Amino acid sequence: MRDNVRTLLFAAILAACCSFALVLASHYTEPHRRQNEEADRVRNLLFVLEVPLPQDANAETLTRISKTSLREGTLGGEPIFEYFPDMPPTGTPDAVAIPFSGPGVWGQIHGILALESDLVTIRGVRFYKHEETPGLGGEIGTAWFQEQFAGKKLVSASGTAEFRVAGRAETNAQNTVDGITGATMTSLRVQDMLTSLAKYLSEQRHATAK
Amino acid sequence: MPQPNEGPHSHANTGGCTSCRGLCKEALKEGIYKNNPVTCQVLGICSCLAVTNRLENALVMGGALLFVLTLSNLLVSLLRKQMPHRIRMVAEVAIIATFVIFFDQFLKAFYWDMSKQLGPYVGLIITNCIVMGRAEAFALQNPPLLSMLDGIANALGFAAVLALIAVARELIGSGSLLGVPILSDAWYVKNVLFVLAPGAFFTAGFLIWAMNAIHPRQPSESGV
Amino acid sequence: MNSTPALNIFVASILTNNILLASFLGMCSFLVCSNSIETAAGLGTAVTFVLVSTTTLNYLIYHCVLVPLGLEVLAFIIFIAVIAAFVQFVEMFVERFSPALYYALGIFLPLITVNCAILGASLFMVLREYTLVQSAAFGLGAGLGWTLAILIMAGLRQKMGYSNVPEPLRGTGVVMLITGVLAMTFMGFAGMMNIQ
Repeated sequence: MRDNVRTLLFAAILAACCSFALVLASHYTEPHRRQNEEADRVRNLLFVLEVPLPQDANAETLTRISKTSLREGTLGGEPIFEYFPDMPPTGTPDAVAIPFSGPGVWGQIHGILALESDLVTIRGVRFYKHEETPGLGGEIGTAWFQEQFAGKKLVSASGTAEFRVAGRAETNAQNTVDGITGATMTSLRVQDMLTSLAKYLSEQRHATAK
Repeated sequence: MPQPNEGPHSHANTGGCTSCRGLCKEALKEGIYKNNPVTCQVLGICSCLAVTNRLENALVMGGALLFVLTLSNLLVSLLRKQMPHRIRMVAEVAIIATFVIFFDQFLKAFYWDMSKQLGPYVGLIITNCIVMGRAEAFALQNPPLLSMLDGIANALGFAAVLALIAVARELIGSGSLLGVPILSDAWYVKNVLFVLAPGAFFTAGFLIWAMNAIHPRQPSESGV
Repeated sequence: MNSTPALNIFVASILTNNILLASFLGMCSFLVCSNSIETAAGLGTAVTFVLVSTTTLNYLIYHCVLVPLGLEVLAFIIFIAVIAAFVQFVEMFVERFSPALYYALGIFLPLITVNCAILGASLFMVLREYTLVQSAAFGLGAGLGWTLAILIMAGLRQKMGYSNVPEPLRGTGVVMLITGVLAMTFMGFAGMMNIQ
């Protein structure tokens, strides 16, 4: 009996000490962690909008810049981020960043699309989270793939709202980029995501034009 | 020179630091190379392969294990006389998990990029057989200072193997070390396979081959 | 929110993202127990059962208890406690209702608790933000994938008894090299899926 009591007592004290120590540590590190998470969230936004950043900006700088230059807004119910290079924000934003996500082949693909103020021309794109095969579908996260998007548009020459990820022969078209060899399905998924975004934006443009 | 027949338990008669120094050196040698946790005891392979795609990741993981193993060995050794036998494994896991979480929180707060790189593998140190293994096999039977040294030694041995594998993988696979390009793009075609999963297995296999060729094992230990 | 179809996750965790060949989890037991096909099959079944159960259980505990209370910091400890308790429970259950199976599995059941694949699956589940169904699919797929890998290795090792492996490579070394080739083979599965 005494043995059992001793065992229980030891277990209880150990559990209490461990939990207490952990909650203390968590409490102490929480402000830093929150700041890191926030900086992560805005880092992609700032890069894709091509906001000028100082060399080696740390979490604090990024958060500060995002608070001054970015403003959250909505476009037909979807959250967007508007970039105003001048202070205070005046009139229409210089560029708009729209987060998007959709199913990839092996997991969810998360990205941000930056558009110029006409909401048609692409300033840049970043696929910042995905589970695609490294070297194949995973190439969507690389610089060479993402850089192609700059200057492309979300409408074809004939005015249809669509975006294509296709073979190299077609990349002269204003709404097409080169796909990834050996990663047809990932390329198609990206195409679907961006086309549906293009259609959505085209509806929004028509809605505001009326 | 380590005293020949002095096992870890019997340092009562020679007293003081002379015998301890011998034991300490022995513990260090054992952990780092005579009984290396990875190549000899074949423990901790999972993290060995997962985080060695870049040297920086490997070094941080080595640091993590140094922190966790040293402190958990120390605490388990300090509590070894009070610990009830029946729940000793659970208690060990609780202690190990606490230190692992400390390190994980520290990484997330002050070294965020690395935390993302290492992903779940920091948490998996809890199930890393080296930590549990040393707690059970050594810390429970030995005084705190010696246990701490054993922890340091095993962690250093682990870190050394990790660094070796990582150097090979990063150099061959990305042509760089610690992010600094070493083999220039001009003539070196990166062998991307080495930073992917198969490369990890191949590098580990070759390393084990090399170590066994340098230190041949006793016949009873081999066998397919 | 992760909107990948659960079926894709299931197939991915067996083939392209095999928990052992791509995520390196469960290596220790893999190296030790891949000597014979019977052992491998027994261990694999046990691991699969524990995996699918604990991943689902841990999902429920994480989302219904830890998150609402803001205690995510205790996630690792709670997960491993759940796994240990579950394995203990399974051990008692099997011993009581099927002594034959208990003797067959022998020491493997306690080994499963420290199998990094089990804890690893729960950690991935949190990291990839799976839903309940996705977690279950992932757990089942991971278990089957692990079993597949260890069965293949067991079969190969039995055949290797007739080969002339160089002395320093025998045992762990050659298993590593073969696992590397296996990993390369499984990489070839990328692109086979065309669901939807």
